Amino acid sequence: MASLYPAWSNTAYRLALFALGLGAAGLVVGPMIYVRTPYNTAQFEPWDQPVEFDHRHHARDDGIECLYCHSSAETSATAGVPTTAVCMGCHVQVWNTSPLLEPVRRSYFSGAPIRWRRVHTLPDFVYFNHAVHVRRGIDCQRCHGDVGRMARVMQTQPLTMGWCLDCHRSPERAAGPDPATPTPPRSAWGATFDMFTRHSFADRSITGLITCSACHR
Amino acid sequence: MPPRAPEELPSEFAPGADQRPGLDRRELLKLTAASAALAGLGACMEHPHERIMPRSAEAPEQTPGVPVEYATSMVLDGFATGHVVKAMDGRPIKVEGNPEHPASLGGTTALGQASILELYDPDRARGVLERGRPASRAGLARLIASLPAQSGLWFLLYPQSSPLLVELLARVRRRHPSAQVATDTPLDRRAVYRGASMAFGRPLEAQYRFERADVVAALDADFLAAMPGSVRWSRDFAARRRRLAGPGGDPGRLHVAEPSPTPTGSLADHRVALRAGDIGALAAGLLAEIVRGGRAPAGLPPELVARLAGFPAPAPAAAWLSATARDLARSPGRAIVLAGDRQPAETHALVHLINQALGNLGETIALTEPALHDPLGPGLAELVRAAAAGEVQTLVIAEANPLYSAPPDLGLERALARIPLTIHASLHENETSRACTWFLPLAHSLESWGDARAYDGTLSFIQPLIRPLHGGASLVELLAMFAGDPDPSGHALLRDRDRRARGEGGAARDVELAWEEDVRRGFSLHSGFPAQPPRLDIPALGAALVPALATARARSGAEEPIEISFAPSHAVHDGRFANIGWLQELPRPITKLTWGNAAQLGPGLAARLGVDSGDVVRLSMDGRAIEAPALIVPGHADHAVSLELGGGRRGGGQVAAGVGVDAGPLRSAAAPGFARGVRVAATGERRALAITQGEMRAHGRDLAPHTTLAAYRADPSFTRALRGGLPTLLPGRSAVGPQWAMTIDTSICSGCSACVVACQAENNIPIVGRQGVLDHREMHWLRIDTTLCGSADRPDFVHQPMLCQHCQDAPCEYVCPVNATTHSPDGLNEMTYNRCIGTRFCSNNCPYKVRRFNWFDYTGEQAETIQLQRNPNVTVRERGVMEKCTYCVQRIRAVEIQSRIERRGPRPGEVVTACQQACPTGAIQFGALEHAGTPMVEWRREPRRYAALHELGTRPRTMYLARITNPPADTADTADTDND
Amino acid sequence: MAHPILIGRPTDAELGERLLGTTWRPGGRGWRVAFAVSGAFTVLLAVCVTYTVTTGIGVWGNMIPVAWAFGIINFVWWIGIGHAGTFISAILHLFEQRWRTSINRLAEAMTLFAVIQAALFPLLHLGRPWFAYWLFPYPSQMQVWPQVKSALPWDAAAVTTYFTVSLLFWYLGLIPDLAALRDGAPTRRRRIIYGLFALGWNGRSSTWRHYRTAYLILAGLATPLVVSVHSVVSSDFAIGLTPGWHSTIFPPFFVAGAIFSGFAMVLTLVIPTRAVFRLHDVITDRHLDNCAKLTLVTGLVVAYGYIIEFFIAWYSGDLAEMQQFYQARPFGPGNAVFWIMLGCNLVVPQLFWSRRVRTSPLLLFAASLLINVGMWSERFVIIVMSLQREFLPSKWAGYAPTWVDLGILSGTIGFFTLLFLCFLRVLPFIAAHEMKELRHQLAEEHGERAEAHHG
Repeated sequence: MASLYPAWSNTAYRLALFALGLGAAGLVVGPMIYVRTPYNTAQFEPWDQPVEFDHRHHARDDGIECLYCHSSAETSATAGVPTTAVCMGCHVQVWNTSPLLEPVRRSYFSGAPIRWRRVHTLPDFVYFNHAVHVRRGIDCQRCHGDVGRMARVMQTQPLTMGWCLDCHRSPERAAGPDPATPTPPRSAWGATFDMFTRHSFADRSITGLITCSACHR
Repeated sequence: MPPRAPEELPSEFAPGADQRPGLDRRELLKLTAASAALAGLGACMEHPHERIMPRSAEAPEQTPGVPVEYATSMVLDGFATGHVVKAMDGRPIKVEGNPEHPASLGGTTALGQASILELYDPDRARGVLERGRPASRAGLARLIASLPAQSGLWFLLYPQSSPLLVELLARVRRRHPSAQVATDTPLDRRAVYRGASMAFGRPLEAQYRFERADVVAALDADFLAAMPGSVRWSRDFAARRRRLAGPGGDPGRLHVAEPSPTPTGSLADHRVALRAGDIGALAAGLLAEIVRGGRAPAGLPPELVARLAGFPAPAPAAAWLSATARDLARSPGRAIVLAGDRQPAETHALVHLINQALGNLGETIALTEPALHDPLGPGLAELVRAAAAGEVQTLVIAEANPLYSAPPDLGLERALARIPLTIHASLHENETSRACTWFLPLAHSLESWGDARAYDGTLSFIQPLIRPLHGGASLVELLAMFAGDPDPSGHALLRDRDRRARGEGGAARDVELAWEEDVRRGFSLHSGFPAQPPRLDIPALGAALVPALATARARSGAEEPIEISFAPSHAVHDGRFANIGWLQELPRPITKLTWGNAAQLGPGLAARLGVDSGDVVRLSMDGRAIEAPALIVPGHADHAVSLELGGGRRGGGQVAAGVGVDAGPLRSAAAPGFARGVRVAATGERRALAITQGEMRAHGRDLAPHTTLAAYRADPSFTRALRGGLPTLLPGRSAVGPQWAMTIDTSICSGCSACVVACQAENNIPIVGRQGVLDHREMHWLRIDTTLCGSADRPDFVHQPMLCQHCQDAPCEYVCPVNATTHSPDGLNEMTYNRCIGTRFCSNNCPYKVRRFNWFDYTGEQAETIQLQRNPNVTVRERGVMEKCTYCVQRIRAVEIQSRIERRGPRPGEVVTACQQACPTGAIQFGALEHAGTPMVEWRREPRRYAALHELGTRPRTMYLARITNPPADTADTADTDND
Repeated sequence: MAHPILIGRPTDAELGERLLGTTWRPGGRGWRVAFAVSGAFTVLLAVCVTYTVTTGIGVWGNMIPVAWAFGIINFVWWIGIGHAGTFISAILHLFEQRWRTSINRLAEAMTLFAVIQAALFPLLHLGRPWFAYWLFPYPSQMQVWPQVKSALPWDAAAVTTYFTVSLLFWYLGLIPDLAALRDGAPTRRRRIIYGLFALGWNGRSSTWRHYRTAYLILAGLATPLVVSVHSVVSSDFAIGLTPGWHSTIFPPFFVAGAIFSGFAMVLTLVIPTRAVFRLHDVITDRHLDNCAKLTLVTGLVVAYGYIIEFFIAWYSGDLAEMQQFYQARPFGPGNAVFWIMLGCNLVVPQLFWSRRVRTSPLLLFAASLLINVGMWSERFVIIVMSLQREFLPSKWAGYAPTWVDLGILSGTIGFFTLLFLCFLRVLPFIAAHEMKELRHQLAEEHGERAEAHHG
């Protein structure tokens, strides 16, 4: 009788098996790679804002301090976005007729807030505190990038948990040695490996800062 | 000054408050699909188009994300308690006691804690109604303005102590000379004042100094939880009892006689269960013993002495009486005898006489003018009489809900029908609103300006933290409308009154400053009433008491018929708080019953009736009857049934609807507190009781150690088996930073449960409803385990606040497969909700069973307004994750962040947990082990310290101090230390 | 003299026809009815699972303190049942127990299907099953790893490993028969499909040599799993401090219980199958006899476990332990289940001392069913009844299942049956090639004149 399979079927079969294995591996590795890409972390996406506010002009050219507008960054958990009144503080004198500032004036006189698009977002179960970071000498650029060179603000850092931990495990990399909490640098792997045992939490003096409840409450 | 209303709030500043991070059912499936792609990103569920909406102009006193606190007051039945309320970005989110306020000293009641939820109650009335149809406030104002002078105007209010209100009433009378004010509350204190009048010729208020009292005898008086001064008194009483710092110390002694066990009774050193109706006889008996002991007050009429001679003590209390009398006599001038509010005037007069005889007046008891305005003025009865006579043309009922709470035999409903114009002003449209022609929504006290006096007379201010959510006028504004002020402002009214009050002398500037200072503080310093010299007209009083003794004698001894007594609920008071879920689900201090009330009776009576807990019984009394599930309460008086008020609401909200039974039908105007002659019969039906504590006995396990003072002195370290080191194979855990810990003294925990509600408010803890409780799924992070010791008819109670013990070798930690519950270097057992996948292994392995699981999406379906109450610094837990007490880690971290900014360590007493802050007695102490000298550290040096389930080697950070009872020597047997 | 393990000397052709033929002979009415019923229960399972995942674990009877109930009971029960297969095919193979030949594939299939049911629960009982992958160690950008001190990650690993190995083992054994079907099945469509799975098997002696080596290696791999998997499962409880869980005897106790219930389930499946397909000469009373003996042995180990549990409870002097074993279990809420457990797991196996019972299919079948019930009850007693009465009386509570709990339990039984029924129809449920081999061996031993049968 006619053979059941043509001659090439063995080759095809082997290829198919190989592809199957590859696909399985891809299913596991693929997502791991994906979550580390800007697609997932929403990095480098300049958002349109209701007002065409240009940080290059204000922060770089005019050299206005970040804290001049984002004043609560020193005292509060949230850096805050300036009230319209702050904008108008200058813009009653300068550019007070510019059409670009129309939304600002509308907000100022109507009292209705400007609806800014949020760029740097953390999940609601993460409690980041601006005040302590700013007052402990972390400069804004560290996490927000060089906003002074951005026409429209975008997120430059991944803002993932691992990214936070990298600094918290060796702050000196972020802010230089801190007399209050000196700490030896350690590899991310060494540190993550310690997650296996709670006892090893304690052998770093900044442990208070990598323990879960430092950010999750 | 009042922060803007929530709709103007920038959402971004309150993460988790106005939008929950959790899933709702729609998102769920979507997410299930997406989660594979989200691998590693874990539970990040961010809103893709979140907006930041900064205010257009700076708001005064506010930094986004930084809480602000304002002092204000809560008024209950006329008495003010000082509160400090925390607002986050314009939303009031938490009530605390005002540490400076004499009626609070920092403590609060469960009701005070829950008042924040009342503000956000979604069922609150939202508009003016005329005959049930929407109307305008302007229309009502016009109507009021058009009232003729001789309009037969009557007001029905709760008892009032507000000076502003008194002033406004005067102004109202100028327009309506015949205007009358009737005051009423289901928990009427007129008897107290009548008793005082009998003794002193005028209604003086007794101010107790429990911190000075070596011996206290409470006759049906739950002074630690259910009386106007309770919060302050709890602190004072605890201070006195805390002299038991070591075995040498003297805790004083508390004698209690009461029908059904109360928080006060559960802290007694020497307790007897006695029907409320026998208390009068007991008081007489006490006086008799004291007179016999040669301490007869001068001028006591002979016939009274004669009657007292050989006065029979109520049978069950004979031993108690003699021991107590002896004890009282032993410490003249250092004792307090007090009777409960529901006791008749004669009993109160007797008690005054006893205190006089013991020389307590002026020592441990000061007498002042009453805080209440016209405490003996007209009440409901007078109002009904006037209405029947057709004298009432216009009736304004404000706050009160008499159609639910008034005894039916008054015939109030018929009376109302005869009144042409009735205006009801209230937070809710309730039973009374429906019977009135007009309805006006009242503003909540957190939305309005006002003033009131504390129990000791301290002038306290009510300050709004938010504009009225649903419009509405405050009580004073309503009265001002009758005074001819079409659109009054509470702020202006109060401000003017204050200016006039301070007016004479002093520059306007100083007045301004003083006012600012008082509003900031929440009350005027030293505005409490001065003590009045106690002048008893003993002969007259004696004469007046003779007939009372006759009736008391007649009563006492007679066992049948059965007595029914009514008490305010520790959770919903008289039912006015019945729509607050936190309170409905609050386990009652002794019975642990939630969601409703029950007919409480003792084991003896239950056995004779053949009923068990949960059997529905029919209580009938001269034609009126109700049906309620029976609940057997050890330590309840025999031949007596007691029923909490506040059940069976027929209107006033979805939560309140149909919860519990209305005791009303059994109450009569003549005997609102208690009455004899109720018939109890089983109906054969059963109704499941939602009780949170499965078993009150210890089953021979050494769970809540307690002993008598004598035994304690004989063997100070009797808890030695429950503390100290245990051999372990585990490596030591090196600690970094302050080591947080808690110490709880069970000798001064009355079980009042303020901490439970405080915890719920602070930590966004949802309620699960009656069915949820029946399914053992209540979510309280902090519960109070009440252990019964001794015999069922004379039990001792030990209250043990049970929260996460923060074990140093925590069984929950090593079983969590994903590191969702871990140990922090500062000794906390952390729970990371967003890492939890919900295996529930940790709960199985927690010997204290303090972990709670989100079986359903409890937070998703909550009403918008309820969500406004949420604490933005605590994650709102989603479905399927475990949660538990965190030692209020959000407060710890906030302090740490501040101290890191200031480059210092946390200061002693800087971190205060919600439960500790609320506790009226101060039984809960929290802090860092390094901070020597703080109570938390000092207490855990006491020999009676112990760790719960110590033998398991979990090394809890929470330490307990054993309960020490101090029974009179000759009755020591009543406090046997057997544990099962 | 024991029963023979093969009655008569059928020729290879006859064996092939009878054992492979089951795959192309149409199923009878009885089969279709059974298929419909089990299919219905499978649908019920799907409904309950969807309801649970979309609404929350709250639809189950679980609560605090009883946070684990039917979910984990069913998991342990099924995974236990899954043990007999590997025991028979791997361990008995290493010990060259020839009687295993006619039941090993059936047992392996049973193992697979049981493990499939079991694998459902570790996922399903999670509060947030969509994060179940956090149980596996992978380099997450959260830089958080599983907690290896907990038994659960090991559970996940053990179950997946066990499933994979059993699957490979079973499949490898199937290959020669699949090839036979490829060559012998009636229709071309069937031959193509079977051919796809036959991996191009050509009966060359070298192929056979490789095949045997591979089979032996896999058997070696599978053997430790028989012991390890249920030891890991038992530590889900043994590492806890709950009275009734905190016990060092659990691993051996659980493994014995697993094989005990496994053999019971083998009997439950083999006896009707044998009757329906009239295979009394291939699956002889000898097989039933041996299964029964093994059930008895493991049953005795289980009994020993019970005795030790109760003894230690007393010997520990720990009040909570004593009240757990001497009050809660015999007299506490749900104590009926406890007595059922004792009846089914202690009393019933003792019948197997009698040879008459061991060789009476009806009695064996009834007994095997009871033992399955008993082993489910045992898990209920261990998990639920222990949690009902823990350290603090204030949190004592009685457990009651909901309709969803019952639906899921019966649903898995239905799903299991469904898979088994399909297996009977589409694959040779007795290893034909091994039977032929066995026949030849027997022939040589008995020096019979094989040729006599020819022609």
